[in-house]
Amino acid sequence: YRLVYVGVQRSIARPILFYAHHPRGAGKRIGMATQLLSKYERDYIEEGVNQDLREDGRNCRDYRSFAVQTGVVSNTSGSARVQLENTSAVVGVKAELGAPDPTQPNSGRIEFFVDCAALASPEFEGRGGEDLGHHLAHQLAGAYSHSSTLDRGSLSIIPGQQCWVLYVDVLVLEWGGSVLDVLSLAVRAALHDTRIPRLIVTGEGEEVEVEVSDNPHDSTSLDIGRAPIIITVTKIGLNFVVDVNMKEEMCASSRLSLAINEQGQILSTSKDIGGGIPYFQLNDAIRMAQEVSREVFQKLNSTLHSQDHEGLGGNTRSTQLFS
Amino acid sequence: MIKAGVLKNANGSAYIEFGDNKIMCGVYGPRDVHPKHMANSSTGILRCRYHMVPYSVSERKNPAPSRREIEISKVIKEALEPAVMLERFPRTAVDVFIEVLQADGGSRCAALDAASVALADAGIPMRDMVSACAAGKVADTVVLDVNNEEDQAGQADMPIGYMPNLEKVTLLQLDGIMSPKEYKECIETGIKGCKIVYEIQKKALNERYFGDDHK
Repeated sequence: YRLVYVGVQRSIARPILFYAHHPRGAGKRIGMATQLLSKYERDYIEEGVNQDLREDGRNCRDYRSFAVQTGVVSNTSGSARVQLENTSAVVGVKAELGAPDPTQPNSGRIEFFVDCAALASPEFEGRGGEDLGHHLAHQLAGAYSHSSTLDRGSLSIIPGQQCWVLYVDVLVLEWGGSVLDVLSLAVRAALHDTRIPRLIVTGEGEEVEVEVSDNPHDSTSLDIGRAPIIITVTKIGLNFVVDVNMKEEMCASSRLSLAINEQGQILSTSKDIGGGIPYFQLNDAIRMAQEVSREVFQKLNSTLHSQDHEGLGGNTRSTQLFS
Repeated sequence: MIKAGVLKNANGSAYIEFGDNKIMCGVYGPRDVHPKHMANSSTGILRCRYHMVPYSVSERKNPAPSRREIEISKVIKEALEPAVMLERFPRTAVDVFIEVLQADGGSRCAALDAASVALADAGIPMRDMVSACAAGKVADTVVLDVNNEEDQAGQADMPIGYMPNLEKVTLLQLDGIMSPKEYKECIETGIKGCKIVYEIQKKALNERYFGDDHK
């Protein structure tokens, strides 16, 4: 199987968010599991980044390789698993009938839920991962909030009454840095894998009846051509890096997550962590994110297409999650 | 199919595919207990969380833990306790986290199988493995390993957790109706199933730690 990077970006309209300090410990940041680092390790990483050499030998712009598998869980309309070194997540999409948002009667809906499972990191015991899960879900929702990202009109069944609701449920299995990016890849792959059953609508007015086609092959796929991925650029020392591992995350002074679609448009932005980003560096950060997003899209799309050609994709068959 | 050591952050982990069940288990421990008042000064404690993801069943399930999940968490914890040598680690906790990705009947047994392997993978001293399998009664016949369809239409479902070397039953539940004779037959069948599962659990650990040398 191949791995695909997924990034999710936040909506443009959202104000810049700042993380509050976690109530449990001084300086403990929501958005990352902590790891102990000595001052010397920190200096080593920062100095390295300043010279475009990261502690694992990469350049600032290098994304690690990732693997993507689609169609991994059968009770879903679409699913995907993404593994990027020691970060991994499984996403399941279930399309169910529901009522549309009263303010948008001609559209279907998409809802995100992220579960930072306690097994993903020692930090998440008890309800430790809950706030983090809500935050990540919020960011994913933000990335997909713009109407161009998905054809919500095609999800409408009876305007004002019935529509498809896509429940996108994310399970974070391993927490190892660059999580938001990975989640956005997994979500995009799962949406690519999603098949919506065909409906037969009969009757009119008060007596409209909706029947879901029994034939599992009688379904349509979603057009994810404009769905974004999220690329997070993290400021360490003087430079920005993409795809941070756990140690690098601890050295970050600030970071910027951008949701970018394949056309290169930026759909949402979010700045995290306390430090400030110098104004003159903003353009560099954005350009880096855009360039990296192109590479990542390429890798993601080629993986998904080759899986399609091999007869995979769609929940018509279920793969082994681990081979 | 069971695969050990699949999660890098957990101290021990295992993934199981049992029929159409797909379950992931991660173990952390022994580690400090938070909140402190829950720590036991003479023995470690075992905590278990069994959770089903929303897309594990045909109709989307609410992510919040249901009563069934809470009950299964308790039952699995009690099934594992006799096997783990908790008294060696006072004031600590061993946490077992189970996430069910896909459910198709007998998931608590599959979860227990994965949890045992994950505990062993974490290097936690154990007296024995716990192997589990469900037996049941469908169409007046005692059968082994009932799946979801059979459970809905059948007459009884009996999950059994068994320690194969100590020959002790650590999990036994029944849902349904049976005559005493059928009950005994069901237990016998279930234990035979548990022994088969035990071989698969051993194989998973061998593969993880001895690779291809040990066949």
